Amino acid sequence: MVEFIGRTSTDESDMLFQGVLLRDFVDLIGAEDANQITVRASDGHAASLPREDWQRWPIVLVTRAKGKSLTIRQRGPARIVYPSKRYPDLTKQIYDDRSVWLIRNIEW
Amino acid sequence: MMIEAFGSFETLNGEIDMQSSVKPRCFQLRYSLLVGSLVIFAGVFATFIAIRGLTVLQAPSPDYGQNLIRHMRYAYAELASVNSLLKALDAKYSNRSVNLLLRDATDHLYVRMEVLSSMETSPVSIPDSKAELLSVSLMEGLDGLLASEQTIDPNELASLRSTSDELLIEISDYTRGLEANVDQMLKEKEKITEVIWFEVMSSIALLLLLSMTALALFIGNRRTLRQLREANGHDHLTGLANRGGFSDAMDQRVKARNPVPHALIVFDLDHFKQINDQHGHPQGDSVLKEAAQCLIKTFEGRGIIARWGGDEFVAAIEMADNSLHDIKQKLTTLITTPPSIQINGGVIPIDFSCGIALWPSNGNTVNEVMIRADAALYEAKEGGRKRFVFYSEDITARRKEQDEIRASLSRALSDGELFLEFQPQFCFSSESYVGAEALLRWRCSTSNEMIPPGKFIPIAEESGQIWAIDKFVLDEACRTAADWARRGLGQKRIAVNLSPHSFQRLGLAAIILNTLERWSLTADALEIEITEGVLLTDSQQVETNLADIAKLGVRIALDDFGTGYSNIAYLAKLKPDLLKIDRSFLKEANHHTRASIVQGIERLASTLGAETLVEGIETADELQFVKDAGCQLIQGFLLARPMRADKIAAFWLKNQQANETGNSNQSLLKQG
Repeated sequence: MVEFIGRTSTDESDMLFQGVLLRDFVDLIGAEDANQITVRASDGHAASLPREDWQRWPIVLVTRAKGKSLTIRQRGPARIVYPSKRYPDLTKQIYDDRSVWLIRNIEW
Repeated sequence: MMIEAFGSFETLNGEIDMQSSVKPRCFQLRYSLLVGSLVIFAGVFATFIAIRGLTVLQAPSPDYGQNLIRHMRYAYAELASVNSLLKALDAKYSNRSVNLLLRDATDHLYVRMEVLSSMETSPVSIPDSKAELLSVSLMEGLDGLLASEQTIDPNELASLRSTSDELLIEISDYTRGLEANVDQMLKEKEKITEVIWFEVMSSIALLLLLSMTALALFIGNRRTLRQLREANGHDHLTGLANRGGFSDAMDQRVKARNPVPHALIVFDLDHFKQINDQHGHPQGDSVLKEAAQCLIKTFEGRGIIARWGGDEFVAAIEMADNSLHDIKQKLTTLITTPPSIQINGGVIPIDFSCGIALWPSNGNTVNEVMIRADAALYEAKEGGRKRFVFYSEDITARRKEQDEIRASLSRALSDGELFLEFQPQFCFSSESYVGAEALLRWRCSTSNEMIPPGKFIPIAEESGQIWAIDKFVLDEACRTAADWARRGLGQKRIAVNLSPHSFQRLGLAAIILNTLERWSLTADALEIEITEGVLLTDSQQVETNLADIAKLGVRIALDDFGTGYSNIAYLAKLKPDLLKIDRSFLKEANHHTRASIVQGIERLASTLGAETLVEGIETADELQFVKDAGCQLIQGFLLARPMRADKIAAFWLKNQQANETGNSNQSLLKQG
């Protein structure tokens, strides 16, 4: 379980988030051999995250804010957050696209 | 000034050294080569860059507002689902499942509006725009509706429905506009791409054209430079003067107020063609350059040196009182210690032959002197190359005579100016004349003078007329011998001299046999005289011919024995039937030595199985000596001079009668 304060996109304000590192999550669900995972959202959006992403950066699968489960309006129940504040390299459209929210399922 | 320039000889290494006052612009060949390569390189480089630019231009660009359009489409879908749920909602009956669906849809729409409002361009990011007002009002209305689950105000619901409808239209229109914009942008990009494509292609074509032009100019420039040099009187390869330059400079020297005498030297490189053929023309060029360099060193600063063309060089050297001796010395050094050049690892010496003529003592004009120097060069080459020959009047006379002989030789043969004389040969043991040697004579009809064979035979050999002459001699000699037999003058052998050249001919023996048969002569009636020269040519054809002749039964005599090298191995192989001993040994004063020499030759002859004949017996003393020494055959003025065919027939007849009356030739011998 990790915690961080930040915002996940420019249209939000800073918040205390809680979640798991994606690399831990991938191990947890038994997808450690997968080259990529495909994350689908309830609004129809989907993105594929290559393995190197979660190996290189501490990407977080956020499930809670201020200790409570994420609501839909907080783009819950789960969302991918790239640490673009710590790694300015990540300020790119493709990483914005991969920061899937409203996650409904994860495939690999 | 011009003369000094040529006289300086600092004209190698591709530099044009002209008058010191006016220096022509020097174009450095090596430098221009570099510039040329740079231009070509730049052209290729630019082409490469342009093509690379084209591929970049053709690559798809990442974002043309697709991100916004995607969000707009999601927004449209989410709004549409909210819209339908609002329509499904009834103010009178509360429906829990529709409520739950509406809440979910509202939450999704909320997130979407949050995202859109934070984007730089979107319908809801402009404050107080119609879409923004509508969305705010819709979201507030939905929130209010969902908060009061139990009671639904029908008016409020109707208002919400109409707000939702309007927002749907707004978003739809905005998306349409966006798509139209993107289409427009793509079209414009396509247009720009086309323009850029055309521009790049034109620039490539232009670059290619430019580099080709530069190359053409560069080549043209080089050619012009060469022509300029030639026009300036310089040889392109060696940097020496060329013919034109030489003539101009010589002209000025000849026309000077106090002209200085000059020695004109014509040089020829020996075996240059061979070097060219063996090692290629670039190596030949290096030989020419080295030769030029060497001539410059030899005659430093004392005249003009020019390349006359091919491997011929000409030097005009100023003459002071003692310089003739000096020139001789320099030429001797040049020829005895020739310069050399390394080609393919081997050292090749550069050998010169030269002819020298003096101006003005050998001719009034430079041209005349040049012709004489050329004649002297010809002499030098004839004399075996690697030597120098000064012109003399004799050379011209000799050349003239040779030219005349060459011109009239073919006519002489057809007009019957050539004829034979016969010199009898006497045998001691049978005390009688056993045969005669046929000797070729030419009385020239134009000068009515006898031309000795020593003069015209070498020319005939050189011009290839010798074969016709030899056939004539053979035929005429056999005809005469047949005539003697027919007239009952007894069996007399005829000796015929053939040129070494004829022994190179295919089927010489067949022609001899043919001739013998034509005149019904037996093979032993003919004797072919050959010189050592025949044996020295180590040729298969010569050996075959000699063997075939011997097989016919024709006798072979070795002429002028004792004057050449007389290789014993050759002698043993040839097995001659007769050794004709030259009279030179008769000059030996010491009687004892003379006798020993003859006895030695006799022993050698008997070992080889050959007879001996001594030529040129002129005095009674000599006759007695050779008789005492044991020679078998003799020939010479003392016995009989060479005579015409009619005379010798009479000579035979007289001898025959003398023998019959017992007044033999013994008396002649006894006189001696």
